[in-house]
Amino acid sequence: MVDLKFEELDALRELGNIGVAHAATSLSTMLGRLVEMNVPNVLVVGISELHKYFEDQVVVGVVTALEDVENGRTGYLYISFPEAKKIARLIIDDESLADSTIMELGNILSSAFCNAVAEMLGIMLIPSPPSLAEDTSIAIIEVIAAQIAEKSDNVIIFETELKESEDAVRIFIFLVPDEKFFDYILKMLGMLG
Amino acid sequence: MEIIVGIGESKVSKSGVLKTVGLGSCLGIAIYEMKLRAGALAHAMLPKSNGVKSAKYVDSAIEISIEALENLGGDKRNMVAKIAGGAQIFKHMTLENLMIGERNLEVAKEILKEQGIRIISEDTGGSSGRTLYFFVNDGRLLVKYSNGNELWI
Repeated sequence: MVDLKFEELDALRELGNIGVAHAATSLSTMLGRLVEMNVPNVLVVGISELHKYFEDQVVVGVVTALEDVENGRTGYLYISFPEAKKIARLIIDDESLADSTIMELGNILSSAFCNAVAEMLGIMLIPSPPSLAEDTSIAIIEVIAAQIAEKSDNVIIFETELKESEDAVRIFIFLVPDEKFFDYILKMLGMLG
Repeated sequence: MEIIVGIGESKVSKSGVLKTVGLGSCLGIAIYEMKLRAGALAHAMLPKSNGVKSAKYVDSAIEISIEALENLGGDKRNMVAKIAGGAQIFKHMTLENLMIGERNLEVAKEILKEQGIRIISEDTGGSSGRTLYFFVNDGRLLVKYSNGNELWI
């Protein structure tokens, strides 16, 4: 378990906010109306503690592998949408297209997130095409964590809110970095904070 | 009483229920000591530890579970095992290294055999995540799938 200082968490939240703000801009342009997104809260959670934060509820989400241009695979981004149908209704007014809406939103969010990482941390990350993942959040993260061969003990969770006029929905962005990437993030945050 | 076993952990108890949630491609290993009426449950992610002692690894998780039961007064000769997990969650295989689930299972079978512990039931594979409830007093193992189905093994 990593204890972050207030300033470091603040810098992480800033990273999340930059990412989702980019995504909200793309989405607003695409839809021709204002969509806002922000990250009110960030958590860094050890993998063995994840069950304390999430219920055994099946959610729709997307998973993207992150490739560092220099070092190859460096982690995963998992974006979960506990209110997928509501998002589909808000965005395209058709609940039956929830899966495609989620895929597209996942695409936009993961690219925007990689841009934010490049801006703030100076690492060029390339996201793989997203895969749809439908299961409990913990099962998905567990599968991802097992993929990052030896070490990946921490997950960074960006609690995100998407607002469209009066309505708001929650989205969770999970960054599952390998150990090297996680250490690098902490190092950079120390410098920023 | 419910005791949660987190990802990469192993826990032992003489009473109540050991529970692990979000078992995806990883392997849940339940070891039951029949005389002592106690059990250990591990949620292991990777096959082999290469010397690191952590329940994140199948081989190590089994050793840690056996030791914990022995510390409670158990004997390996009275131990049996049940295993569950190893699902393939993603619809597209590009992200998943499929070998991990299979390797985990292989290593679990190999190590349990080495230790002389019989696997009396298993529920592996499939495409749905699992939650396990291990009733340590009588060794029953309830598998609850994310899709709502249930199975006693």
